[in-house]
Amino acid sequence: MILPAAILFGLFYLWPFVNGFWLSLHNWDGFSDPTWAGFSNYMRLAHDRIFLGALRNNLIFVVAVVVLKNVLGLGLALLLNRALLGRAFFRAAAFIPVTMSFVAVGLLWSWIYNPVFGLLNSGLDLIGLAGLKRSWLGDADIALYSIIVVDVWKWLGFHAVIYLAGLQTIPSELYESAKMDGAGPLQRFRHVTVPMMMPIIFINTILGLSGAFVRNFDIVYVLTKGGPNHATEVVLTYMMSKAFQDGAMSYAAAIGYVLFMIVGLASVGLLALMRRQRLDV
Amino acid sequence: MRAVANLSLNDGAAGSRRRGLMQRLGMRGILELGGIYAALVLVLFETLYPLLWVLFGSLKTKQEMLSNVWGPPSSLVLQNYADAWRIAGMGSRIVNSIFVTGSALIILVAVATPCAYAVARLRSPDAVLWSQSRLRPCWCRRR
Repeated sequence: MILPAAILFGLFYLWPFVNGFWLSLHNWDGFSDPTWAGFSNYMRLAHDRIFLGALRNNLIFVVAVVVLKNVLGLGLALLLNRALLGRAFFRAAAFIPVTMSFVAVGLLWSWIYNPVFGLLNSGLDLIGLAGLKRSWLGDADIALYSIIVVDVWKWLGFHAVIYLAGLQTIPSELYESAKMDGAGPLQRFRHVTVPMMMPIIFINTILGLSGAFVRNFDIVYVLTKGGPNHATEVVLTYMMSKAFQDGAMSYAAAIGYVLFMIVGLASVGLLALMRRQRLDV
Repeated sequence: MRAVANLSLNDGAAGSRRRGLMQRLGMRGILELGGIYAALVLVLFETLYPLLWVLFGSLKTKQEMLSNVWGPPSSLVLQNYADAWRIAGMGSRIVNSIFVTGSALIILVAVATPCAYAVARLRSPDAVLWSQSRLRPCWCRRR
């Protein structure tokens, strides 16, 4: 009974996986016969300035997104964990962006960032900060950070909900006894909340990491297509443009394998760290 | 405090409840609560206003999109919806979406259900390996 699933898995996961590696060792334009190229595609990658820039952008994206999602997500969860009037409403509202598709979010934010009728620039006008007006996606220095804001906006509610679930598993006795021992709010956060939340922090970090590495194509593609002048190029958008605009299929396959190695190493490192901390997730 | 006490004389139960809140929380508690609400309203605004803004935009004319960026539409222009339906062919796109989602769902259920059953019941070295695995998904956990 596993057979149908195994066939689908083999056909659509394992075979392309092996075939892709074989392809990365050849030169292939998508039409003519592939010719053997050894590791020359990988050698070329090491000197490809655009690829190295894309890798750098990707790493900035990963670090910024993971840190912001965790810090803001935990903060939002702490707010939503209080006994408040309208708490269910605030919780639902915070989760709405998570349910939207990446393309819709991308279009929405490309309108917000639009220099002519954008919400952001005209909002800055309204509150008298016209000096801060920018072409948010056209300026090579800040376009990447504009995209990071969008990704955090979309996923914040998701991470906050996971933190919220974690916060509710902390027994209130711990807070009471900490209070008896004279711990202030900050000390209770530092010595009760944070240690008890370690497994949740790990889960959120892993989810954020994997998302930031391999699920940033749609948002970048909709917002900037990697421009201006490759300033927001990430590995996946570069791979896509190599494969389907330049027809360099095998070069794109090599890019994919380099990304796979990086993600694999990061995952193994994190899992090893979790084992050492005795966190069973 | 005296003002609050006077208030409670005037409107009875509601006022005394309000005084109870004041006494229970104290000045610091009320400031804290205010801060939490301010933060939540900020989150609410940055989450929902962009969505509301798109709804407003869909009801504005092109000129009003440029001249009146933040506010609600001055009159409801439903022409945009008619254009989206007619020019962009929304109808056939919705049918396509339903077809893709429906087919994927049918294949998924047909393939994943027997697989989950088999994986849960399997007794073989592979099955032991699977049940020990840290990668084992939570829906396959036995006992």
